[in-house]
Amino acid sequence: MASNAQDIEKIVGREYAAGFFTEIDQDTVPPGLDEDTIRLISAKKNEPEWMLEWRLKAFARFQQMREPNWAHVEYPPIDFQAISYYSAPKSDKDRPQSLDEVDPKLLETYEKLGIPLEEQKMLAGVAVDAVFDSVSVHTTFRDKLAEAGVIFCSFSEAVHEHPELIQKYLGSVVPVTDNFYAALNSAVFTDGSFVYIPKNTRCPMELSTYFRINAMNTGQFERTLVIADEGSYVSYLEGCTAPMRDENQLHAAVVELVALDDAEIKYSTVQNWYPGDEEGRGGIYNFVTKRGDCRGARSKISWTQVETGSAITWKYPSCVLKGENSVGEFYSVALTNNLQQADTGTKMVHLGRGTRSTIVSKGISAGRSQNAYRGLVRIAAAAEGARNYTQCDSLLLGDRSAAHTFPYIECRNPSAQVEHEASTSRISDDQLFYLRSRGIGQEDAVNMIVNGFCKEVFKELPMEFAVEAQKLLGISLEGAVG
Amino acid sequence: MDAIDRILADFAPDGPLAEIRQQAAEQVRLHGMPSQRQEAWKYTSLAPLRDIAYRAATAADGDALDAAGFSAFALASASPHRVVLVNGRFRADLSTTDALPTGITVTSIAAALEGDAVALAGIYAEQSAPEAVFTALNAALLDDGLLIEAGPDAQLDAPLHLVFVAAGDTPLLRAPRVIVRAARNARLRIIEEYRGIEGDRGLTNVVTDVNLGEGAVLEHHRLQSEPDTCAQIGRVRATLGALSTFNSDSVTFGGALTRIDIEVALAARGARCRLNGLFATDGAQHVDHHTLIDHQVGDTHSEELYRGILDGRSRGVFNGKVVVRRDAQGITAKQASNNLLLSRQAEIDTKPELEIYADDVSCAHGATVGELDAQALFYLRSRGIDETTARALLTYAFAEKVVETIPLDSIRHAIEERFIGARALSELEDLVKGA
Amino acid sequence: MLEIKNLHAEVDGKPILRGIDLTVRPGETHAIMGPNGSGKSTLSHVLAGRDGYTVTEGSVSFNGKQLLDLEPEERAGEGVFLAFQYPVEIPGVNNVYMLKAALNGIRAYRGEKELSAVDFLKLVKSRVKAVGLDESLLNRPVNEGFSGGEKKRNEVFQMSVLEPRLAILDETDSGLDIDALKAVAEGVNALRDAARSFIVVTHYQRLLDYIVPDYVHVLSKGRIIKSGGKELALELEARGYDWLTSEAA
Repeated sequence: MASNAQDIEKIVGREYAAGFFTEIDQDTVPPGLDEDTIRLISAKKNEPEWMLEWRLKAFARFQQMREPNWAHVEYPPIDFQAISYYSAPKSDKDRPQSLDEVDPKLLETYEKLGIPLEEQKMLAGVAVDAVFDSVSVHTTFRDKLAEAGVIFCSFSEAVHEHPELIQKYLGSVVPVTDNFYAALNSAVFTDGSFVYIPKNTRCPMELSTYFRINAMNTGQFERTLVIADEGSYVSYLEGCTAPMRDENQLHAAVVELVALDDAEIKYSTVQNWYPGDEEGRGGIYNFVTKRGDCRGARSKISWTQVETGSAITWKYPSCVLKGENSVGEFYSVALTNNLQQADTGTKMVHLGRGTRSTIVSKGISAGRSQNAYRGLVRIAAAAEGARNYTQCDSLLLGDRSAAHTFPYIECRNPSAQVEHEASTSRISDDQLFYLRSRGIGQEDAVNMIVNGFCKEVFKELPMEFAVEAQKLLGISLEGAVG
Repeated sequence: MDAIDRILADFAPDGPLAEIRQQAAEQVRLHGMPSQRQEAWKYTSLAPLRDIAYRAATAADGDALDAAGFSAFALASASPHRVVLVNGRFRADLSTTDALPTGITVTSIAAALEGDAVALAGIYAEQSAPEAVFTALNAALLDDGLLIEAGPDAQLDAPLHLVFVAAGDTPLLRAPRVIVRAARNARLRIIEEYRGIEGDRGLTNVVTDVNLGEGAVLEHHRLQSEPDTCAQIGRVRATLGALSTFNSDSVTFGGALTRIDIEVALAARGARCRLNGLFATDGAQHVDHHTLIDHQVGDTHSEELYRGILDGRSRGVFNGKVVVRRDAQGITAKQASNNLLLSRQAEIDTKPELEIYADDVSCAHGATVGELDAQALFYLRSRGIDETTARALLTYAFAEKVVETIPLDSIRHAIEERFIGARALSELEDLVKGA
Repeated sequence: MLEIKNLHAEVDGKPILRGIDLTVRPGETHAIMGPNGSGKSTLSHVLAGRDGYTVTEGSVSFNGKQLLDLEPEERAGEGVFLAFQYPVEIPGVNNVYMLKAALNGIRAYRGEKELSAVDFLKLVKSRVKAVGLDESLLNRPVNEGFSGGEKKRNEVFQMSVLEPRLAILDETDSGLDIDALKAVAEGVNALRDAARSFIVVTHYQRLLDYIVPDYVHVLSKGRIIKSGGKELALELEARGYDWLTSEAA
């Protein structure tokens, strides 16, 4: 374990006690968090003064905030001083030099996902050889995007090359004071993605962090900012499909989306961070703040997520529907197995007239896991004629698992219509028996039913992602059915 | 709440329950008044009560109303079994319990305390969670209320009608306790009606404890009709034995600030409950209903329907929680919260929750907030009914659905008068039936 | 009595009626036929004043009044009655009470005195028998849990109590078996007289065997493309709509 270079970023004190720090080159900051850490991060990234100021302000606020404890999850206290907040892209010598050095169990999973060998290497953090040059792949697309006027680059680049856009939009959707983890992220984020789609432009391809695989190494505090200018469209895919093997590790990202008049952003996530083992050892704490701002009239933001990973998920991709007749959507599959805990859902905040939102949430709990949907639908007094429809279904596999539903509905406009439906049940014996009597094995039958249960969400995903998501469910459910 | 601090400051309970009451007072001091930072009080602020100089009602306050004053109330039932409490104090002279069937007794707690106080002692020992601070307060102040006991197979021939009258010329803190114990196969129907004289500005902090033996049935109708100057914080806690049934209807029209918690523990197989609720508010009224249905064991069943109609600047809150414990298999639980907003200043906050730790369950909930059905409205108008009448009719129908199971015409009439302005509907219905 | 002139109407910006002209005199029964999507139901709804339709051109006068300016209940007061294709279920609203409120609403509109409960009940009892509606349905919520036939019969029963001047039957035959259809038609025929007019909207000739119209109009793509006597319906039955619609196109 200690020889796995991925642990460089995994920052829990225990790991460092194992003697990591001495082994690592000077580009990793020692654990600890104070103003100097932030100055150091900013300096290493050669940031302009305003960026540093912004971080320091966020840090000042962070220090006054307390860790939230309302979610339906349990974990030992996190020592924020035991975390190292900056690690430069790894040098090749710290990585496993070949797939032979990678945990075979991990490779088995890649195999099942049908990931090509070279990509497997990348995902496992193996130094990438010349055969698959992610940089050139990246560049090819970049040219094509540049032709359309689309900006798609790392956050660090954007800070230098598009400071006016960053200054205008950064923190405008998720203010630094929004919550404890968002404040932390604002202070210490290392990198992330930046997307700008110009007016009346349909982004010529689906943008994906997958193409910038090296961005995955930028750490657990990434920051994503997507701006869709008037009349534009973009579909953004975020694949955290690399099952990381690790001790508990904090991942506190912030994603901000801005849609101006008539713009549409479709944001899809397949999240499969390492969930910990069967006994609940290890795994990612995925404490993420994602929010979309439908700032313009008739704008639309659609979140689709398939969450199968992480030891603990705390995540509520939300839409603030400010623009008249703007639309928010949230489609989610959250699967928990073993001792995973998920408290996830969405917030739809209706501020403008004629705003509409749809929430479809499918929770699957297996093993001894805890799976909670938490949602807020708020209709402000000015949101004349607003509509929300929420459907929230839970499926229980096994009698040790738990499923919870906590929907908050706050309505202050008499012309609004809000409808929430939820159900919780297990797989029906009749369905299972029917399939098995047709010759389908138990496990396949369960997979089939679970996939059917999630269908409404999968159909919102881009094709390739949908296929991957289905496979993921199958893998994640392994051993869940007796 | 400064006034309550003041009440507890020179608090020196006496009598056989002194120790328990002292402990309860400690609880209240320890936790203090709930704030909106607590999830259970997220949507309800107690700030409006903060500066009211409450005084704990004394035995003497029980005499605040005479028989003539009492007879001015048009009560929800004319049952011969009537028990009246004025300012939380049992009033024998206004009560009629002579005709109660064998096996059913109603005793005032004040009287019970004179006798065997030990039996009562155990009942007050359950205040721990900070959310239950008002239950602790009730226990601290408790020296009167009702003990209702039904022996095995005992059955009421007419509802037992409890009338709680708020009648203070200064703001009183009333803390009556109602204890209902129904033995095996007993069947009871109890109406708890809360009324008050105009201008009362007190706080009714009432707790009803229900314990149902095997196969027992309790139909419990709770009517909050206090004037819009009163505050009420009430709690109903029911523990259900095997195959027992608890049906609760909670209807709230009155009160400036009303908070009612109804908690049902389905503690043995075959137990079932139905919780219905209706709140219709106007002006600056604030009504907060919290329900908790706890499926502790398998083969227990629950159903719930709450409806709110909010007009004026009023605010309604519904929080319905259904818990299914580990290994409680074979559960069905249904829950619905429907709400109508009639005004631009009104607000509804609803939160139906499911917390499920077993897998052989069939649980569902639904919540809606909206306007009246446009199709139904057009249908009625196309028949020649003007829009105002059509709306009133549909609003009435929306409300009536919740109380259709209550065999008390008086409640339906109250809804009818509230939304239609006359009893035209039921009179015609009767006429058609009679003809 | 009813004069529709160059009526254009749209739904969500989509034109549905594209210039309807129709005159109905007292005592006449007009059948409006046409394929699905021709605008038949839209015409019924626009005449009754349902929300969601925008009249972009044309006029409808009814006994000298501009119908389109009136609220739905005012149209009912003027004597327009729409028998719905899908009568709405209204849980919790008692059927007979609704009818009483309707009748008294219409009487008030006409400046007539309210009917007492007793007189109203007498009227109801006589009419309920006449249309053969199960009396137990009177005290039930409006249409709730009624069978398809019961719902349509309830519409006819309401019509018989409210005694409109113009009744619009919107696909009253849909979803009815032949016995129910006959019963409903009998109820309607009993109400026909020299002063009362009917517009019978239907897809099929079948209903017109029982409610025999004076005129038949064929609606296609929002216009009346052919008008004739009752024999036109028979011809449509035999030849379908295609010959006409293609002719028109």
